[in-house]
Amino acid sequence: MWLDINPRSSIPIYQQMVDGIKEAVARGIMVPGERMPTVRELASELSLNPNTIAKAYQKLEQEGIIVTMRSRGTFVAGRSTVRDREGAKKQVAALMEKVMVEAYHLGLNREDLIQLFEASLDEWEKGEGNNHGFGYRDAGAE
Amino acid sequence: MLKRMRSNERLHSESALPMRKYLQRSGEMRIMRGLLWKEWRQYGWTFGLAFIVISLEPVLVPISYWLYRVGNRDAWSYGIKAILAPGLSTTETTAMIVAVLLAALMLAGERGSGLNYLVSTPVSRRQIIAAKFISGSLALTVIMAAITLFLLVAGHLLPAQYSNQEVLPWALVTTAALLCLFSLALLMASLSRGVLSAALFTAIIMALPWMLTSQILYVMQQFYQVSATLELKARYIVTYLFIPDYISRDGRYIWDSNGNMVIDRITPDYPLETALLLLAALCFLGLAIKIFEKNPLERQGELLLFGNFKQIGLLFFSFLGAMAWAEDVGTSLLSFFGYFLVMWLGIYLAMVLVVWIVAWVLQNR
Amino acid sequence: MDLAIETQALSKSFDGVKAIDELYLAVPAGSIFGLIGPNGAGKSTLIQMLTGIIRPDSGEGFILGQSIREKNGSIRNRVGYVPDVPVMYPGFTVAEMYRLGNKLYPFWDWERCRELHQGFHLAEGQRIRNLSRGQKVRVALVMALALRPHLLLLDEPTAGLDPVVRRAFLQTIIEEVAGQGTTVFYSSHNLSDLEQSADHIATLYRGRMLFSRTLDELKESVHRLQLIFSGEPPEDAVRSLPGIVEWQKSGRVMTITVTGRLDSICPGLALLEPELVKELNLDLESIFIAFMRSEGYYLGSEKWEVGSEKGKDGSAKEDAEQ
Repeated sequence: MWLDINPRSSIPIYQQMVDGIKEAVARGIMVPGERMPTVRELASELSLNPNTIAKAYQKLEQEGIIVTMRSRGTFVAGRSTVRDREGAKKQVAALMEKVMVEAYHLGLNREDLIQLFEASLDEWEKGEGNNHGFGYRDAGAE
Repeated sequence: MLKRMRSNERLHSESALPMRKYLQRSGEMRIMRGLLWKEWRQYGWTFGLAFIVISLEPVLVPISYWLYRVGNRDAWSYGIKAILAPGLSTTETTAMIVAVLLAALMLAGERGSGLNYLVSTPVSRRQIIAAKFISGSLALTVIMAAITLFLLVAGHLLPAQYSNQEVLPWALVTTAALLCLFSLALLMASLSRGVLSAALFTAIIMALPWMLTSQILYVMQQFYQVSATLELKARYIVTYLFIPDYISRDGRYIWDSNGNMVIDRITPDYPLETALLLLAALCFLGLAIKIFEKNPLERQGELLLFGNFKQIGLLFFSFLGAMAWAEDVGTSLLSFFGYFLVMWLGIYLAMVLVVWIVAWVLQNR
Repeated sequence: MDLAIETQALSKSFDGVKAIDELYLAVPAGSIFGLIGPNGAGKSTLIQMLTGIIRPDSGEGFILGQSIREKNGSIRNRVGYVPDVPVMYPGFTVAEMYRLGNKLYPFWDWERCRELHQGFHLAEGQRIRNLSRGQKVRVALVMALALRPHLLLLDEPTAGLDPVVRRAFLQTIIEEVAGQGTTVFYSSHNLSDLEQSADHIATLYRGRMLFSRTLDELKESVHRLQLIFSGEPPEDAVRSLPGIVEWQKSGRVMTITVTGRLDSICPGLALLEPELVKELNLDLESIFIAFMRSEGYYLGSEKWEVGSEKGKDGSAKEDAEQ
């Protein structure tokens, strides 16, 4: 797998995996319905602790990014319709707050921030030519 | 909550007790077979060497006589006659040394290498010692049996200076004595660190009853009138505690302190003596097992119990020196003891100091 | 949760010096548990007590649910051990060592043995005494895995091995855990190996456990932050920060190492009113060194102030080699 894990980072390995896979799915590098390697396969391939990988898979499943089907394997889940809009908003708001704290300390102002955000949005929607837009997509098949 | 990983195993054992016992036993058999294989693989050559060394006089030399057709038709058996006669022959002495060295090598020699590996396997310490005892004893027995067979067959086929009647009793008692020595040496090896110290300790322990009794009698005679019968009895008992006496089959000659031979030679009661020796061998084995189980292989195989050879040596020599000094100086038994204890401590401390100074000087050269 | 290894108040002294001092340890089954600590901390002693080579003075220990004081050898049927210097039987060939292993271990698997033997590029006919240390370690590892262990005890297995062998070694361990659910308990100085493969880390220092937790928790609970101040950095305030391990001042910049979760540290930090706060990367090695420093064990000239009373001026203390 193309995951780039740095064991020496302050970020725990499982977190790096979760973030990496989430990013991959968001960018379309992994598509819904695609089969994920088993914990064992991934552990062997990346030379990482299987418990750590299992933990990452668990977290991903909790967040609905992947789905495990008994005796069939683990697959990338389709992007589901947002059930808990409010909750999701709160989560993203918290993330935004972190960014703002950082920006504050770095000395950026409101205009800078808005500029940055819009630029990122554009970049994202351009990416890979797929419709990665933030409009609603079909709930992917399970 | 956190619990130990044992509930599964317990459940199984409860319900299948007989089956489990059977499996355990067959597992033990398997392990013992494995250990015996290892001993053979490791010491097979040593056993072979032991055979050559011990059978030099009784087997190899006669064979060379035959090959080179030297001397009379029964000249080949002169050496054997000497062996079978009462008294310690070179072969018998050699055999004793070989038995002791073998045990020392098999146990103390393995410390720091194979033993460290073995102890981390599913083998119990008891099994380790038992396997060494079995293979060493077997080797010694086979060697003796081969020699005996040779003597019997040769004695039967060719004119010889000895009679076949003499061979069996000799073989029996000598083998038993060798086994006894072997297990004594094994016991000493379970206590000590190296091959040489194990061998040395064995020699000391073997001679200890004799040395102690002689010393005590001598000291007592300085201060008390010791009756001749008491002295005789004491020395008589001691000969039963001295292994080479069994092999020499001198009967039980006793020398009293005036150098006179006092008891007539008696024919050894072979069955009794053999039984005594084998019993002693088993006792030593039991002790060796107990000690080896308790004694840890600390620090890459060094032993803490008798590790300090130097200390033991100092203690021993100061003991002897103190005894000699106190004998001269003491006027009564009580004063002897007093002087002895004080002297022992004094000489010991003085020696320790000397050793320490020497070591310090050498270090700061 | 089942514990593959558990100790309670385990103690051992040598010549009056406590090598292991009232140690409490809990290793969950199926984990890869790393034991770190400076030389002479007691790591080898601990592992040797677990394998039964050394007997404890006091306390209790259990491997796979059975007491380490057990005289019966069968508790080690499922325990593989690779010592830091494997000695084995110098006169035996590699093949003969395998044969011995087969005879002593009831669950020996020849297939696995052959597979690993070939994978590690070993030669059957070579005598143990003629092997290099790396080859001896590989033989020992083959034997430790061929017995189909539930628990693997490894004492500095990769010390002195070249990177190729080290990688193969780690790979094999990981596959073993992933495939068989084996528990691996391993002491090492190679913290980057552990960082990659371990899920739990425990630190031993002078026979005592400094801490024992999952690697993730460890990383999430220790942070190195750089605080840039507009004026003189408030040393006293920093000194009294909760969870402060050590700090270093350089002009207007203070670099601090602090324990606790980031969100609970932040309010305290905000009170100091720094101009800028930046989080620096802390790998396991740096975490370890920081903790050792706070215990008073460090060498070198880096000037760090330590947060607790002990080892205030960071005097260098080198522990004797084990």
